[in-house]
Amino acid sequence: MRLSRRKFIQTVGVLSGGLLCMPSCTRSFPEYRVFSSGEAVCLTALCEQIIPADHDPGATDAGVIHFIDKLLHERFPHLLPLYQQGIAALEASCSRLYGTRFASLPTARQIEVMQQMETDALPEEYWTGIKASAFFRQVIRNTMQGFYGPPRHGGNKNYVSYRMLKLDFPLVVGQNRYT
Amino acid sequence: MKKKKKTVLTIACMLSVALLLTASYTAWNLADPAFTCARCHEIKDSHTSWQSSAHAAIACTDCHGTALSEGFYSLSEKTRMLLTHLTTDKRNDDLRLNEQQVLALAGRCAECHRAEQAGWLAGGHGTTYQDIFLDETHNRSEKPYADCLRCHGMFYEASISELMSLEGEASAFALRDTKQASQPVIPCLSCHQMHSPQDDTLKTAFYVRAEKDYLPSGQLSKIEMYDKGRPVQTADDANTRLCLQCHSPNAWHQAGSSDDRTPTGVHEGLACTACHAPHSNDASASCSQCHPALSNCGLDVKTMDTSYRNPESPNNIHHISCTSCHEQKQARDRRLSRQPVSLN
Repeated sequence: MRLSRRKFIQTVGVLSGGLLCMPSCTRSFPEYRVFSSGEAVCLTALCEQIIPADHDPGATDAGVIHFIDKLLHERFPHLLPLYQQGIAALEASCSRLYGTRFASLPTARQIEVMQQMETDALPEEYWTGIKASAFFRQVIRNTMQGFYGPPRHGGNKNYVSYRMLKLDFPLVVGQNRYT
Repeated sequence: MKKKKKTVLTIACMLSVALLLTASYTAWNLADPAFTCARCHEIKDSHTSWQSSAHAAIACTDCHGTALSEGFYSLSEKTRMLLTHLTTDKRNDDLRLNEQQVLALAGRCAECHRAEQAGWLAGGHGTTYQDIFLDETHNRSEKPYADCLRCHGMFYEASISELMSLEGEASAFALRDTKQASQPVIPCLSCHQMHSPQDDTLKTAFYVRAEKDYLPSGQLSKIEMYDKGRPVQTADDANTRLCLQCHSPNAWHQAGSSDDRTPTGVHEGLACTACHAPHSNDASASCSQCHPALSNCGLDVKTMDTSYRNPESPNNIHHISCTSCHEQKQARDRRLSRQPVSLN
């Protein structure tokens, strides 16, 4: 293919202009890697009921939702269907029973729903393929990991659980050679 | 004639391309980072923290360099960054500087902070991998292990066994990569977080290697110290807490154990920076700040061997007490013989 002089100069102009435009990534970037914003709202409310904030920070303050989001994206993507189906079933159950979403329920009602989830007592038609109790146990496990685990994995933001437990962190221990 | 014209045209085109690329890239590096670096979602949080930091007036490229500042290395590095951006879903909290970037950045710190760099080089913290990890005397008493990297080589990206071979006698230990030998083990970023808020008057933070993140010195917890079971009064300033992260006592927090230098005796309660200059750690001029004005015995303290390095010295500056010179009985007799002070 022969490139005419005019075409060549046009291409060079476009390419060098493109260099300036290269960073102009204008698309908005989602806050979560694997969850939709609706799923994140539901899961955040669920985690916050597992470790609620009182005089100490709770799961939301510790960024547990970001920990789970990162965990499912990077390490355990096979758990994603369980989460997505579990959240959808939970929302559908709440909608059928109380006419609203889980996150919008008052605290006492949320706890009631969670007790039903733990004992597989929520409407069965929404929990096909997964068990409510299995989903509940998985959320508890990951919430605990996100709240109490090392911050490098995305949770325990600002070392909130270490501070709550008054852990000596970073651990201050010198060498052994002099002792 | 036609061939010559074609050659001239080709050269002119190549020059035009080179000129355009140079102009574009220069414009890119000089532009407001809000329109360049921070257009990538991974960088946005760093850009936000930089805007409120003490270095807000300094361009990204002044510290982080450009694609051309380190030759082929930086060109390939920036290309890899672009590929990572395009092919993976990384967020700001996934980004970390590697050791080479940390050391390159430290070199650029020195362009403005010359006095601090000179002090750091002259002091103990300007030490290198060779000084620390090939110290045969030390290695005979304790074999290097993972926790050494907590304070020496915090940014080293592999394990101690990947850093050095530890087979055989201490004299046979060697760094696997000889280029590592002259690299500093405690660079600027060990104690300074570049994007920390401008209103943070402390200007220091501890780089927690295990978390690959910083804890501002003000958020480090106070360490309780003991001297044979007696609680030791310690300075509660944040920089002393920072020093203690590496100049650490044993697991029982005994003052003076392991690498700890917590003062007991007449200097109990003093902060590290009351005597030591922050970058050189030099304390030689500090005695005259208090002595002889605060001296109770009229001795010229500058004539005393106060070095903790000399194990024979009875006047170790960190632990010297009245009874280092005076017998306990003499001190008690002197105290008892004092006349009550008249209030008139």
